[in-house]
Amino acid sequence: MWLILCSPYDQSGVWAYHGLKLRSREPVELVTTEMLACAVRFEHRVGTDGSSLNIELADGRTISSRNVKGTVNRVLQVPDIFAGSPDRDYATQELTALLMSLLYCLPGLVLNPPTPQGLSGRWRHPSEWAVLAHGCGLATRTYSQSSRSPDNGVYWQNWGSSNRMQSAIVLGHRVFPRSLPAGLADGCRTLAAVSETPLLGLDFVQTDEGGWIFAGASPCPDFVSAGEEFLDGLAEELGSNQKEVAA
Amino acid sequence: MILLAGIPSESPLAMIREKLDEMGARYVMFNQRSFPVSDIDFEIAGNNIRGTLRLNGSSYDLEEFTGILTRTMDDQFLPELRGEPEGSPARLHARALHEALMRWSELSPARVVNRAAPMGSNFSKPYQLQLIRKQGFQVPETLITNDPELVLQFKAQHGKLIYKSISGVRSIVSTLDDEDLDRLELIRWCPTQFQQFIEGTNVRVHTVGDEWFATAANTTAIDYRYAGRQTGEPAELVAVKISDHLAGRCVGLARALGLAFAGIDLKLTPEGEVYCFEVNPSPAFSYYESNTGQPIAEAVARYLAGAEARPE
Repeated sequence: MWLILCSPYDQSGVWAYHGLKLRSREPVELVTTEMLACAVRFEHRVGTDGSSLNIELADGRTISSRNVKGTVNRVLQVPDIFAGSPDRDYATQELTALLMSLLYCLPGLVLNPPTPQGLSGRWRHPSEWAVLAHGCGLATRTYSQSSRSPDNGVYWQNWGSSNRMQSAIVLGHRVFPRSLPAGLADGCRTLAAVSETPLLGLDFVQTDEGGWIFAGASPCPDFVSAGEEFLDGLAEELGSNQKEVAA
Repeated sequence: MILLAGIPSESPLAMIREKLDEMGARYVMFNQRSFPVSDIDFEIAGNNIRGTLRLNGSSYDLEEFTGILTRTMDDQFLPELRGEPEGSPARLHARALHEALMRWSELSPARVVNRAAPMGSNFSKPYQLQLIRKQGFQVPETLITNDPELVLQFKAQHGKLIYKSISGVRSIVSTLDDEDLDRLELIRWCPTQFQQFIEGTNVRVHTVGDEWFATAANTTAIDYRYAGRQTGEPAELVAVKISDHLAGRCVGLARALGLAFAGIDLKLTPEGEVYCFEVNPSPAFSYYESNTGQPIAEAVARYLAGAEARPE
């Protein structure tokens, strides 16, 4: 089973689900964050010999360590299912901590694995991305942050007068769109590797001279604008990893 | 130059500061409660990070700092902000200051005790347990479930069980007793973490860079930190020796988790096995040092003072 985990309002997640169903013989299951959080039965084990999960959803489906072969993980946060309870904050923290551990023990390829800085991969501050991107050979603008700024410490980067943007997605070793200049694609690939984010979206702004300036990155990018070639790549990536696991 | 950030009277911070004084190390204290007379700004251009910290009229180049200790409390609860409405200029300034300070310390090439990002693994105990296991430690068998029947099966398999929070909130360890079993149905509302009870001696290993200090906690309490509450007698803390091999594994574990300073909770069984339960990224070491005399604060001070560059 390939698993798509996302919010019901996540257009990219739902689009990937339909796209993968057309491209795979493997069953593809869409599980929303709400269904996951409100599962009928959780069984999660961690021990010296390994970890496992077995989750029974309200609609009768089961997610287990035995039936999942790959996951597109777009879980952003735990839904507010404890609203009105005096223990709302505590219960939400507990459920978030549980999901982090569950997602970490999913077998096969997980795009992306959870981190303490994000359930679907590490969300970094723009200051961190700026430093990492520069180190990967991508052009960056000066980043400034001040506690004295009139807007109370909001960071600032000068993008110049251009409003031409370019988005890219790194998926393992693949970079979309494939038409991206080779040098830029190499930098994207390196940034994904350095940031330990196998599925990474990047944004660039074009300078007046035609160069591309790094403008930000996300572990949960928009898939739809990457088009059908991205879905082909996603199916290949999940499929090839499955073969590696089987081998 | 070293930057200490926090509340000066907080015991661990005060102890480290005292050791820095004894060493004659140069340091600057950012007292959070003085936020109205404090400012920071920084700029990242390429791989250069530079800026200025202003504390009570004095200015410091951020590039001067080669060691940073952050033991800050949540700025929204600072006494000086009591009665301040949401969005007041004082609250906004305090937030902007702490946010900028944190962002800079995450990127600074200085030695930082500890950076914020690696401290996050402790937020989810079973997640951290999986990271600990990957470093080769034995970990206790753990079950998280909302199914009472599974808990009973787990108990039949492992005997005595403990239960505790999954997250770092309200994390007091308790034994699963008959009274708890009577109300086990309640877990259907919120999955709960159960763990096999491991017989043996609790040992806390503080690691500071490559240094380590092992302390045994002798008590019959399930959670030795709350021994006074659980048994009426506080735990007896004793400095103990552990093998160089185990110490090296502890140092390696802290390093793998990205923690310059860590408190690692072990259980040493009578059979000679070692179980690791948890790694605390912000250990309240003063409790151990004041009971055993182990020079932990001195080691932290030495670590902060001893480098000009980020450790590997």
